[in-house]
Amino acid sequence: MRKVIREWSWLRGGIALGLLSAFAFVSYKPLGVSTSYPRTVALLLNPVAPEFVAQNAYFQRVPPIVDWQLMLVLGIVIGGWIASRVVARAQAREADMGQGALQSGTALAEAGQGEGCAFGPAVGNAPDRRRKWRAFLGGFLVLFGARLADGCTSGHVITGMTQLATASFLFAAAVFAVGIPAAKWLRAKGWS
Amino acid sequence: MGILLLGLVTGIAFGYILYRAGVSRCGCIFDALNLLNLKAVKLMLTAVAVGSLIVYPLSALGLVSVGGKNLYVLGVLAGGAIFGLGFAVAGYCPGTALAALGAGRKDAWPMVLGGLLGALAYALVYPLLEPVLIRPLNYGRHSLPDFLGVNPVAMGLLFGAALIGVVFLIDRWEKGRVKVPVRPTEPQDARAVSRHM
Repeated sequence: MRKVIREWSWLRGGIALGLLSAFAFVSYKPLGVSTSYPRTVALLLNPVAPEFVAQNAYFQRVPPIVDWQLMLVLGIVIGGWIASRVVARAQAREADMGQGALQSGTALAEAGQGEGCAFGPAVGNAPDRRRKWRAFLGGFLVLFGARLADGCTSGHVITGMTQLATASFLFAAAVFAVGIPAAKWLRAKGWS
Repeated sequence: MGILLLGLVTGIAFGYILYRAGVSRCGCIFDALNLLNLKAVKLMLTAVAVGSLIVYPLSALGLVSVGGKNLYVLGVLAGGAIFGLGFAVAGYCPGTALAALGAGRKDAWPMVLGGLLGALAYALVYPLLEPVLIRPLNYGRHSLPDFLGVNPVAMGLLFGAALIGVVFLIDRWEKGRVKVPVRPTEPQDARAVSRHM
């Protein structure tokens, strides 16, 4: 019986995220992610088109400065990297102990324990171009919608509902009212 | 400077949790939206409940300010609908895509790139949308306890406790459902990052 490193349960993950959210409330301000996307755009455009950035009404609200949330966003990328390394090492160790150092973490992961994604092990190492285009399209819509609603899963659902913000309940209702039928339809079409 | 470092450290913990809990897999989101495995929903609601149960007592002590968010009905609903559609297409939200990016998933950078372009598109059309979707039906900062005229701390604690009950009910309902077998927890996938090494 080989012990496999597993994902955290919803309870463990939820408690950890709730504690982190409370920490953010107390230490500086509530968690939020999506404002950093337009801010990054503003930071990227500012050296090449400073007048456009200065005159755009939205970038006046989200000026090109490095703030707490932008560092939070950078931290998420680093945190995801650290976590994936921790898991990869644990899997490699488990494989060494269980299989006489024959199986690497990669082999283990590809032996049918996929991520349950359209971009799963069956695709092998070939980049699934359709999946990438869908992620691109979805990303466009997600951020456009998040900016229009002034919040995403972090800013509206997690921190907004935590403080009983009326807008956040409306946002969550709209997300799932559209997201659930859309996901079911896309799955029927073989998209996910 | 200290604030920036605080943000970075908070973010690292955030990304670590998103990856270890598995919600940065698009499959986890797709399964939740298809109502096949509600792990992501249960996790999110648990986080909300834990947050409320901590933040509201601290607000009574004056340590935290909780005031709700700006409510403008049309923009929030339209934005949520567009977000929901994109969520169903991508399987990522703005935060989980970043954790997936760090973990080296190959569909994360197109999501982030699309997100940057979506944000730029929004900035371009903002002057047109603002008078139509944001200015009308705009109630400013708005929260349920203020609206209902009840004590926010009491309502926050009650909400947190009730939400925990709801999450466990969802969990029980899910376990009792006869359906496609769902593994209780997915093994973690290190494949993407191994390729980078």
